[in-house]
Amino acid sequence: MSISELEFQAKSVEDAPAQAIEGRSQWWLTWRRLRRDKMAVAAMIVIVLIALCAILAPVFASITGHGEAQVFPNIGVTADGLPVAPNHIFWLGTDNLGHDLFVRIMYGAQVSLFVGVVTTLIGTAAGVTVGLVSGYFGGWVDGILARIVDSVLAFPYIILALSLAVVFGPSLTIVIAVISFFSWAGIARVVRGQTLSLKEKEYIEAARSLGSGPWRIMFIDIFPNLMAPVLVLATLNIPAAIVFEATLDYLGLGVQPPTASWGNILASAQSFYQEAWWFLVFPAVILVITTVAFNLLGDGVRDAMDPRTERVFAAGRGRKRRKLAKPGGGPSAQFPDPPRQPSPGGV
Amino acid sequence: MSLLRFLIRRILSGIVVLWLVATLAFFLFFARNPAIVARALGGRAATSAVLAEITRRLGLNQPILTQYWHFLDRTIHFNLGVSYFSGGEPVSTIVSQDIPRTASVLVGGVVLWLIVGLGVGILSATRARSLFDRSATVGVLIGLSFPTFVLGEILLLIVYLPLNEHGYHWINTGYAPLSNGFLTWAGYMILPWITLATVQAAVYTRLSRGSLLDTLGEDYVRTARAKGLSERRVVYRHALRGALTPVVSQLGIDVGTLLGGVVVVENVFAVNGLGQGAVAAIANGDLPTIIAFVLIASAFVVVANIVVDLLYAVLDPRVRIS
Amino acid sequence: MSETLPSAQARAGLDGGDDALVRVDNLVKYFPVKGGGLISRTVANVQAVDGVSLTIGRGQTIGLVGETGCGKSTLARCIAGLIPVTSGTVTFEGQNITNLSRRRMQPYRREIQMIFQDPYGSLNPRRRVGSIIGDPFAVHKTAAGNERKKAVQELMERVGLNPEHFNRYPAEFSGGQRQRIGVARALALRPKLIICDEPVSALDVSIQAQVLNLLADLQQDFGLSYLFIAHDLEVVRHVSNAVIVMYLGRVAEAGPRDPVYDAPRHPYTNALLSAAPAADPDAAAARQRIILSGDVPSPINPPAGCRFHPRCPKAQELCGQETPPLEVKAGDPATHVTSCHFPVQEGEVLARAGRTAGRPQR
Repeated sequence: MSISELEFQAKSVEDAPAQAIEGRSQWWLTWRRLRRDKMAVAAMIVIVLIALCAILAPVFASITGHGEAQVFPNIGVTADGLPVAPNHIFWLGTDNLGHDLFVRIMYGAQVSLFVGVVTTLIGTAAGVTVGLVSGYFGGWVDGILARIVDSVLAFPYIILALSLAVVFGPSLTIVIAVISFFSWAGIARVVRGQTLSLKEKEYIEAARSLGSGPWRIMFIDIFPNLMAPVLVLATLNIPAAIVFEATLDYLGLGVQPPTASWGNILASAQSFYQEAWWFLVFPAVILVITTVAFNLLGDGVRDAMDPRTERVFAAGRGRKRRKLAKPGGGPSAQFPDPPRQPSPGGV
Repeated sequence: MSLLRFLIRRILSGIVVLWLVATLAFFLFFARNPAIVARALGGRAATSAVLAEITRRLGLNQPILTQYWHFLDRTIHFNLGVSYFSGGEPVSTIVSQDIPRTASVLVGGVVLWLIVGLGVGILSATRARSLFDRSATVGVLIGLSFPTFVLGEILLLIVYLPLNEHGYHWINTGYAPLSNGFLTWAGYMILPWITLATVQAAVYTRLSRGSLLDTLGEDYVRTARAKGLSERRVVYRHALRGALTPVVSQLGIDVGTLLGGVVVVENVFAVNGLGQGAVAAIANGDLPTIIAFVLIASAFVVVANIVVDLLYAVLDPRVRIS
Repeated sequence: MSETLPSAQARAGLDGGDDALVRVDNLVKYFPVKGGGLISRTVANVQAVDGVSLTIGRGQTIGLVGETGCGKSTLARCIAGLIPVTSGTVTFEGQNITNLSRRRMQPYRREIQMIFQDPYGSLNPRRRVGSIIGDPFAVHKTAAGNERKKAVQELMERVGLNPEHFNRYPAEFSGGQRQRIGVARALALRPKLIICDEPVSALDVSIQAQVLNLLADLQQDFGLSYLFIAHDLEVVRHVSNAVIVMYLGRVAEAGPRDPVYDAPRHPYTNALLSAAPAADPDAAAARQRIILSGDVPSPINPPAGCRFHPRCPKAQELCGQETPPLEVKAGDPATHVTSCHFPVQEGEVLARAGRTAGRPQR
């Protein structure tokens, strides 16, 4: 083509009427990448199934005719006072008191998911706010808040949980309080770190020059740049919270029977594992599956948001991924590992 | 600032912290109406005779500062009071029986977790994306997702039970002191160790793997390689030092988690150590014992933090100057 | 600052009259350097700006040039109220706006705006362009909803962007377009002064012209004043009515554009001008380059007396002892001031530094 033809082409493209094109937001791109990650999709399906179990627990109860707290001392317990093996009446067997184990496990899902989500919401909201304030204002505010965050992170959760249980008596509320208390600190620390570096950016200076106040800058300018790591942390916080809750219940500090939770079922199961393996295995399996699913999802979200991480199990048809050597499946600079919250799921 | 001065500074601040905790505990529990304090210390079943005895022995009617001084004095001499729940047994006796048990669990567990965690992490990093690495990643994922108590119970079910039924009695629940022989002791401890270590090992595997991979990408490592050093030397003498610092700082935070883990493990395997003792004390409202446990836990946290800080200072000389 | 400047400090810039838009009087900005020891104390100061006075008139463009580290960006931020001032005053339309609290400064923020150098860093990558440009309206609560959207689109059109693109992210625009976005944002509330901190330095030369023309058009349409900071002298010559040359926190020379460019008096100005690329290769070859020796000294420990004297080809003993006052030199128009004991005369050829240059004095 001649020069003038090229110029003409260029001009016509420039002059072509442009639609109001929606920018491709990072969320859309992330979702697309996430959809392609088979492990993450599998995890999502599992989570949905478990959520269904939780929601449909009453339905299962009515189908089987066995309530959550209903005991069947005759058909549910053997002559020696031991749980009954799985059969056509009790699909997963019974526990030592004659409850239908299957129904109780379904109800237990309610507790776990509820606690997992609620504590994550509370912890994330509080953690983000504290992190933003601490990082943006700096000075003595940061000094105090950062110390508090560090103290909370290092605090042995067990002492707090035990003390609260002594004073107030064990309950679900205590569990939520304790878990939220420890969740927010990890997020606050990461958010603070990110805020410290973000506030030096020129667009923050530009916002100040416009007259933006600190709160507007924190939540409208800085926060959108944090959402990615916060989302990853929050998603990974859920399984930690679930495990934490189960452990507290196991120790007798949380949900008490007859309300069913996976933790307290497993606490009772401990004494009977010799005779009634199903009592131990089924709740254990579903607890682990739930946790694994959330962890996989969290890892998937992290990988989807940070496409530079080269995954150890690279999705896609074996295309060699010559990205920056940042083998994924792990923390990166932008997505640091959640500072180990003292979730006893860990230990 | 030499390492020694750093250590001394740390120890001094540790002592201050312990003193603060003790003071806090004292004022929390004792700074009230003597009658209430006596009742709390004596437990629910205390008779008025017992209460009078408590009041007299601890001097509860004395001015608060005098009591405080006596409290500090007693504590430093390891006289932690008397547990009225178990019929007047001195708390220090109860506690000192529990300490070796908990210590056994702790030490073995920590050693195991560090060895496995760091070992697998380093090997994964040096063999990135190999089959080993991929398997390790799967293992990490599973290990992360297992709550401690669940793992403990499962191990009981699939390891202890079958072995015992078939006549192999090496692995046991409960506790046997080291004086009974190393193998015996280990037999009781091996399952608690594995339980305690697994999840932490998973975390540390991932942490050390990521950290080492980052370090291996640094320029100074490239230089070491360019100098012609063997890969092994490069990794172990040059890269590892820098890679370990995030791991060590994580250790400091994990001390708190560790305490919780010990409690859980002791419960599952009926070790009757400090962890179980603490839970029982709270269930019984045994205040003197509770106070003792709080103090011991704090002391442990402080000491562990000092050790961790020391490790960090050894690894990263810049820290000593600050 | 060990020596005091003469009390009748001449002013840089045009229009010393009372209806000047902005007056800066003896602005000093030091950044403390914290030292070690148990308690952190201030052990030294980075003397970023050390006594600068200037005036910006209405509808004028004042160019501010100097090397990196001479304090021009710091000065700009002091005027804009982004960093607190150590001493001195900034006056806007007669009102003292130095170190005001954020609330009291708020109304002035509508009048004084800034355009930044880095087109990639000065826009929030996570916000849509429409939201970025609409920010001033939101902050000052002047327009909302559809009204705001309309205003934003009008602005986009005015700066040469397609108003249909207001939902896009900055990443989808080129560098030049991003600067236009920055201009639109600055223009939103119809300010009186726009401080341009090297607005075209990061752009390709062909785009630079476009943006400069845009700025000139806007100045005409809206009666804007500009404080135009740059290190490229040719760009400054193109846009400015008056020029201020800074060196190490102080004004070296200032005046209306033509006198300063045609007859620079300060050796530093001469050196800068001699180093600027000339379009005509023959003229460039014929020109004698003045090469300054040494690096720019640190602003923490600036040289005594005239700060330029260690590198100056004309330096003598006096230069290291006494700070030269900023005053009109013989033969210059009343608004052309220079701070030099031995200003360059007409026809004088500056020797290369290092041969007959005076020794640096401390």
